[in-house]
Amino acid sequence: MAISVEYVVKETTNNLWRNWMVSLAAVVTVALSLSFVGVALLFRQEVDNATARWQSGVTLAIFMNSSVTSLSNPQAKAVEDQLANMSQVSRATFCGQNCAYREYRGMFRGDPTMESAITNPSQLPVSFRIKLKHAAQAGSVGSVFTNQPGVQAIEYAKGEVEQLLKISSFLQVASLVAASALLVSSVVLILNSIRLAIFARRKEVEVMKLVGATNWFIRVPFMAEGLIQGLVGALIGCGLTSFFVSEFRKLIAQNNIKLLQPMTASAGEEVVVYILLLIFGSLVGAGGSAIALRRFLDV
Amino acid sequence: MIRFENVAKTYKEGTVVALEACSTEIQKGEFVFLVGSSGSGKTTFLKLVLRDEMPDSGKIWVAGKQIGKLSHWKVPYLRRNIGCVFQDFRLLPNRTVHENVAFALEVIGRPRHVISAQVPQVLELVGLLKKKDRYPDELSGGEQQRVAIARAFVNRPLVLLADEPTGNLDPGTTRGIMRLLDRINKTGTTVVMATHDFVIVDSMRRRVVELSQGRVIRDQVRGIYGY
Repeated sequence: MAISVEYVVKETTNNLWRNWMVSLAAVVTVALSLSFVGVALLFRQEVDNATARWQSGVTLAIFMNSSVTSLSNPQAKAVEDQLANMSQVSRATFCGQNCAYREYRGMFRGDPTMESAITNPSQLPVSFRIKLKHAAQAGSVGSVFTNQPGVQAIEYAKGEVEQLLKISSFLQVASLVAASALLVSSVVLILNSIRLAIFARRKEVEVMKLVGATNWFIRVPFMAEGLIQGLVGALIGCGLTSFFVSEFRKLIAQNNIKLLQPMTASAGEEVVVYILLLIFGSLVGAGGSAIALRRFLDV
Repeated sequence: MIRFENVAKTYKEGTVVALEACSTEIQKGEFVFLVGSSGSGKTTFLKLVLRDEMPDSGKIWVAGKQIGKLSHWKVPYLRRNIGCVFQDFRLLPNRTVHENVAFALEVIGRPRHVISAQVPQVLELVGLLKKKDRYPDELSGGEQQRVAIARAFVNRPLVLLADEPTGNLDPGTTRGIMRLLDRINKTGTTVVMATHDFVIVDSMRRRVVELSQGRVIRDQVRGIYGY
């Protein structure tokens, strides 16, 4: 039997209107729980991105003795070859005396004492600047060159890097746990409010069964109602998520929290989270209604 | 139209016997009173016809079909041939008289022009056309039962089941309801009415089937409530 679209639209709008308090409760539940889930998901994404930045930004530096002045020196050559053969290294660049001088001038611009201390590129050591594939390997790569002839010093942000990695992996796990816990609790809350709504109308379902409505005929308007509640709730949830996240960013910017500043998510990543929320909201709404109806539908 | 063959039904895992070896047959167009004390199985009888309950054993035919063999999804189609009226009316409080009756047609997918033609007709029949925009709680008990009858009959069912339809009504209103059921019966609809009201059974002189402890103990054409 065909179900007329007109009937479904009429029933759904009427029911939403008649039971607007219950509908409102369902919508608010969906909106709040999904906004928490959305914030947790976005936060996870941001931590992910921030870690990626830290990792790609890490530079291990190998400084050579003053006797080594250019790449043509065999000791420098040896280091360069070794670096080229190491799989942990993503990119190694040579910074000659001119490069070092430029860097020095840039570092101490406006500081007359430091500027006057070094006036000639030949006073500075040459170095290799190394980008690693994984920040965690900085220590092991650095130790290879410690006793290499011609190497004066190795500099790397070992302690800092380890700390950052520890924090970020903790944050990632924590936000994932929070997101999944919120997801579960939101499903339970949403199902419960839908069940309440349907329980309040069990008489209607009884009458429908009595006069010979098919199960699908009874189900469809309820599911459409749940779908709309879920969708509207998810839309509001998206709005709340974006509000919370932008407030959070403002807070970081205002208080100048350095560690958290690289935490951003691109517009695309935000949209993915919103789409996930919308899909989830409508599925829970429609599916929840169908599940909640099952009890009243067994003939 | 309705045939029971050795039907047994128990509740609560066999501890409460509702029907026991119940056999009877009701022809098309008959008007049958189902009488008996409380707990004698009258309501169970009606529920079995409606396939609201399934028998433990025995066979039941309704409108030519053995309903024990009916698959799950066909049950709604069986019910479209059966109208139902109850003591407590079972109207939807947030719909008007017209909407309550139209609802029965809407949910079985009747097109709008059919609904707008049939609902006023049946409301005219039960004498409530003028009150079609009222809500159930603005009507008297008798009027509410008329709405329930209109809803049960609007689909022109083959059978009308009534479970103590006058149980909540005063004698005057009861007579009105009975006249209405009689008129519906005269259109060819089979009416089965479970009742305690000996006054109406005695005055109508129709077929009486008496149940006692789940068995048919009397079946009289043009019977009365007692012996």
